[in-house]
Amino acid sequence: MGSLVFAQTKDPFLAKPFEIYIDGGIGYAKNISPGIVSSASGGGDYTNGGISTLVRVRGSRNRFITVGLESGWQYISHLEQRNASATGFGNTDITASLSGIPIMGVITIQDYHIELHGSVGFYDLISHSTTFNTSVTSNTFDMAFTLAAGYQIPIGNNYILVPEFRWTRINDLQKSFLTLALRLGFPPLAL
Amino acid sequence: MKVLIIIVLCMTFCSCVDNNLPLPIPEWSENVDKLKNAVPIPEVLLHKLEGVYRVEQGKGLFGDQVVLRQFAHKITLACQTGTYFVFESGFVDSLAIFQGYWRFDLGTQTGLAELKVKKDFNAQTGDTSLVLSGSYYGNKGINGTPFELKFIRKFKDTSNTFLILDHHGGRNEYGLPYSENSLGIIPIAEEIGANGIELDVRLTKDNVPILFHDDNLSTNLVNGEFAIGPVNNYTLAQLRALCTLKDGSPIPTLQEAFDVILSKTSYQSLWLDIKTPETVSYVLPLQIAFLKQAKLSGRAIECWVGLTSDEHITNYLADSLHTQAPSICELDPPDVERAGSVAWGPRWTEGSLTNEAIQIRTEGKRVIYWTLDKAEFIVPFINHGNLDGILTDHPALVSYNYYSRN
Repeated sequence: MGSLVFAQTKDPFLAKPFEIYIDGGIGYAKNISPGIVSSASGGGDYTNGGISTLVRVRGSRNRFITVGLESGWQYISHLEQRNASATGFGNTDITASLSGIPIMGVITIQDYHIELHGSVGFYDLISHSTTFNTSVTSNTFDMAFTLAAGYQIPIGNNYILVPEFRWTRINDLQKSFLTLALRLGFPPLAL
Repeated sequence: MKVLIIIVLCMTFCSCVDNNLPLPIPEWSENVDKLKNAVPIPEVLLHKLEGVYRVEQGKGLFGDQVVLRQFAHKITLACQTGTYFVFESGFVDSLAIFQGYWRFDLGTQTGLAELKVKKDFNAQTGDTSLVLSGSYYGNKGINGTPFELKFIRKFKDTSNTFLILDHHGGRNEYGLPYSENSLGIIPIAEEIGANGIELDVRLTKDNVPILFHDDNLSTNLVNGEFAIGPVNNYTLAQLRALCTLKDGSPIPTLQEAFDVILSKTSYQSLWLDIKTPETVSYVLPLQIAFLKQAKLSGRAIECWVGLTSDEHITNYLADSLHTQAPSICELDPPDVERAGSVAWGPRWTEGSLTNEAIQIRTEGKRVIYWTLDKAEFIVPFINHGNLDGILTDHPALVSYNYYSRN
């Protein structure tokens, strides 16, 4: 028995290469937490949510459990306000936007074409604001969690299409998102 | 799948709940406000009520005894349990009436309270006939629970020189309706038993010293999701446009805090915790001007710039103004000497450091431990005796444990 196993693992025709699967997706993220804006800048045109993109790299689609990494870009919020007050400095127009780049580890369970994902990691939050005709770009890292569910639809040649529903929590920012996305799974890259 | 849906729904619900709701300080409504037409009680008379009282009735909220202290036209009861009471005062007919609120300092319970005593009170050691009786209520002032306090003795230390410094200008773990390091919370610490405060100071991009604890802005401390990242990425004007503190007030400058301290409090001491070394040289001129202004207005107040690293000390000594700007050094005793600091601020977790504390005090410098928050640790430090004050998140608890000593 021992020699049989040895023979199999060494056989170049039977040993499976390490495969990496890459998925790319795009969707819309709706922020379900209230906007956390100051009373000074709370009265403008505020957009809470927007486009979300995702790139997920993970192990075999054919295994029950795989791990991987995911990243992407998410539009979080935007504010346009005229004549906002800034105590002690008079009024100013404000243009500000907030977006995030997730850098997360993901664990995936999949069976019967159903995928369940749990991710934990960080969002690199990037704020760009203009007040008093001066712009500031600033960023911070914030811990985040994601739970997601999707359904694999094979579309031939090892491609799959996955409608995915995602819940994301960005911890210190105190924001939660519900995202509906469509993901395209590419054929595996063999290493 | 069902499990996943339930988990997502639960987490979504939890993420939408704001668990940092402010807990307002309750106020008596006008129709039951007995102090509306009361005659103010002179401070010297109120001072005669100070002392340790035994709880004869209503021990649940108080514990076995309380410490009663006066400041301005108010009195504060500091309890063994961590509860404190703050009362306004006035004479109504033959009675001294006190109305105010109580709050559990280690939780979120609060309510109204009232107290009365005969007009000719005078708490003297040996005289145990003085009894204060009253009731405490929930927020609405109904279904009162009676309590009775019997005078036992005056304080062992009546000098009021032991420093009880409230952390961050006033700590707000349990939902006070003011943010830490805000202008609104500064006068509150005095009600709770502090005779000084510690403020956190750092610089904006345009080098204005402001009160802010963390290196980074975050929605834990400010309303304003577009203000993120290092505080010193933003000018003061940009900060004021993009965010407020959680209580809705603007992030205050150190100068604004100085103005409030002089106009609205009677604090004896002020510890400026300088968060970055480069802040030191921007604070010294303001500190010196503040001390001069205090002196002109007849206020005896100490103000120390906090030195927390070698770089702080280097910047401090390199500034020619340092000779006029008293400092408190948090490093080792030799560093206290090197910086010429007037006070030493050791971290309590390093132990009592008795020999070092005695040595520092024999040189005429103060020793103030930080940050002591639990009675089990506060009491041994007070008992070892080689200290001039405590920096704390719970001034009422320190006040009780210091002044209830027999």
